Amino acid sequence: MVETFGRHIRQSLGQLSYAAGFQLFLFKETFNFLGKRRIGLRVLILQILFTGVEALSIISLLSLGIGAVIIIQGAQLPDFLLGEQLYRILIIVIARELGPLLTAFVIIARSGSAITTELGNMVVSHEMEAYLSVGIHPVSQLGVPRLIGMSISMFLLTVYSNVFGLLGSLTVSSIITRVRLADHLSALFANFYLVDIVASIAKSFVFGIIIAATSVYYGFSVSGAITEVPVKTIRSIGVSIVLCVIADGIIILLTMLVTA
Amino acid sequence: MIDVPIVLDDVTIRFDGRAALDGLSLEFQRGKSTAVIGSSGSGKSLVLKCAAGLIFPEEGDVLFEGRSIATMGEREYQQMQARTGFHFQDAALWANKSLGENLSLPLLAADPDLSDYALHGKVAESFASVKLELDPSLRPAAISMGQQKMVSFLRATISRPEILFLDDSLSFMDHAGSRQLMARIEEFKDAGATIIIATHNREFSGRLADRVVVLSDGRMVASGPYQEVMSSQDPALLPVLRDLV
Amino acid sequence: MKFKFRHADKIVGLFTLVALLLLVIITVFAGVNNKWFTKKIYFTSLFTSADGLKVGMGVNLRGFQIGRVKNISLNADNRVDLDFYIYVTYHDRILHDSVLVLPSGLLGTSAALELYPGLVEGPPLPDGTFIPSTQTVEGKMLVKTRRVDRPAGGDAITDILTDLPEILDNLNETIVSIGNLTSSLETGIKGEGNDAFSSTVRNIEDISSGLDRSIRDVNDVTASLAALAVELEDPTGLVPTLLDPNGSLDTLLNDDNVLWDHILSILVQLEGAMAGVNSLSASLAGISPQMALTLDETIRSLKEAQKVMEGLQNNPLLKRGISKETVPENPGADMREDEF
Repeated sequence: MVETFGRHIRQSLGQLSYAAGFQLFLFKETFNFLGKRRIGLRVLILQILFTGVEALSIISLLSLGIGAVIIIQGAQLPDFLLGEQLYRILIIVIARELGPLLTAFVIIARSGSAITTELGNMVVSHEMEAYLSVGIHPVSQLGVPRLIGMSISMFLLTVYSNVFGLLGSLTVSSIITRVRLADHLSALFANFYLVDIVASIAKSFVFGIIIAATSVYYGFSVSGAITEVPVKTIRSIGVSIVLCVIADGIIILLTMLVTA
Repeated sequence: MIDVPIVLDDVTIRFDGRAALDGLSLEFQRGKSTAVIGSSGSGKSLVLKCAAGLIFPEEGDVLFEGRSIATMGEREYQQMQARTGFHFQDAALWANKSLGENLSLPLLAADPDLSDYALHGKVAESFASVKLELDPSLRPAAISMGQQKMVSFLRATISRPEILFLDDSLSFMDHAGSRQLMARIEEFKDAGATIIIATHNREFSGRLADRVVVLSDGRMVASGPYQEVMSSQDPALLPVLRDLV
Repeated sequence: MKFKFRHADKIVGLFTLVALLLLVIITVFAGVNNKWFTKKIYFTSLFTSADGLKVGMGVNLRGFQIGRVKNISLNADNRVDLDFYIYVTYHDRILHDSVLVLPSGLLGTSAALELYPGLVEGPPLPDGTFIPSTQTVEGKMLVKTRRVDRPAGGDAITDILTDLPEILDNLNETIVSIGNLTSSLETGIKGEGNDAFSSTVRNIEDISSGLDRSIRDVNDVTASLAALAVELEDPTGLVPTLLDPNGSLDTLLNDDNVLWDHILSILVQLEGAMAGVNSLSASLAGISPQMALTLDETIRSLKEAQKVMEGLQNNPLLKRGISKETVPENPGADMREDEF
């Protein structure tokens, strides 16, 4: 019993230190990326295409819908649509919270899982060994463009998500209250603080890095059997979500400290 | 120059507790070709991958020109890989890259400043050397397994490595393909390359190997010049030799 | 698939550029609206209560936003420290003797603080200076002694509106004093000693001086109202020129004199109340709960007058009509109820 526990601890620590080493290498290689642009740029562009452009429609639809729903549900509260508070609520709920987090969840489901599956399958078909054999480290070749592409895509998608979310809510609100959309917009801008924009951008990048690093790590952790791939994919999705929520909390605390 | 570029020193690899390689010690001499033979599951592929530095043994050490591969720095490891080529048993072409990209990546890894023009030229030349008429923009999935194996061989050899690892090169190949391939390997051999082969093909090893190493259950059971080993009457060796095709 | 790949660069480029453009637009618009790029000069102030104050509320000078509230905190003396900033463009208006006002009429608190600049010539106050609010004695004195540039409004109505809250405050204080006085008189009469009685006499003196002050103010108002009445009667006077001829004046004159009569009746009542105040203060013997009641009537009349004034001001210019009174009912409120 005690022995099992001890072995479990030792193995967990070993895994943790391996994971830390892996992430360290991944980030080190990311910084070196600019030096060898030729090999990775194409992969990077395709990563933004798959993760960013192709998710744009679902993200914008989702954000428009949620923005509209917030107003429709909120309109049942007295005075919700009338006060200045409306704009702060929308900015905090959509731009600072839902925008980045919702985008992150969509990206985890769409692209995080895809990355783990793809990399896992490449391990199984010895493609990783093939990279090693020609003198290219697969983590730098495959992991780095995915990390950068994912972070950029998350950031860009969050901008779109915020724009569509706020537009959706203000459009519905202007239909209900008959206030011109332009007036709504200028009031919204007047309530936008720098910390809102910075927090939203910071979250999008941090979430992007978390999702990419987690998916890449679990993809590479497949050791050879095809049956490991779905197992690792499921785990990578779960871990990504948990880490994003934790990071969200930390960033909220940090912004509260900064603005306090 | 060190005469023995690759040394396996008491190498052990386990899968789920079972030893796939069990305290194996081997030396591969420069400019010589060595065939590692044995039945399926005897550990031939593992020996090649260990020697090529693609997997790292749990116990023991693999030395490349006297340096332990496991403790090499990144740059040194890359330089070592640039001087070796590995022909995978299952081709292992990069599925999401075109055939042309599969061939140009090793070249770019060695020289990132290579022009597109030079790349195209080298790729075309490589295809022509084995009389392969394929559209370089095709994906690996679009061609047959035999053709994939041939492209994989081209990828392993396109940057003219000093040391060539051939893991069951003739599998999936038709007769004509096999002849093409053997002719190309002989060219490398004649040019002084060190060649390490894993195979259970009698003709292949007979024609190319200066020396044969016989594996059984992850242990070396015999080694020596091809004729000597093949004519051995050692009862432990006979079932292994009988399995060769 | 192939088509998409061939245009991947273009599509990704467009995707990226549009997003960056949107971000820049949001940042620039938000920045311009919030004056992020304008240098700010920070000041502090002191309030007795945080009611009506909030972080981010504007600081106005004659209705024009010149800064914002940065922070509010409760200090060790249970007062409210307020930090605010003024955009550097308006720094030269912040002279010595400036006062910060939380406009709190009878209609609830305002969404912005008002800054009355001091009238002292000289360099503007430096960063970090304390600027008193009218919730402190210092600030009240500055306003009362007219050492600040307080909006005069330019017409009789605005003058009355700005002076009224101050007068009402004074009257309220007087009523509270009278209340205290009455109760201490009662205890005095019940035989609680000479000390109480002498202090009562001192209180009476205070009150009479306070009353004198209040009555002077009330007389000012009455005079203003009388002037206004004259102006209203004169179609070429000040008020009609202020008002849109097709707007409320029209209404005022063409609604069967309802509003007109209303104003007149208030003026009459105000005069009546004034007479009551005068007669009471003329003789200290009149000090009794009855006096408090009369003063209360005065206040109510003044409030009604203020409402009508506001209606006048709002109706022609802002088309909002007379705002509903939000002040909770006072005891004895029904005294006037049936007449309105």
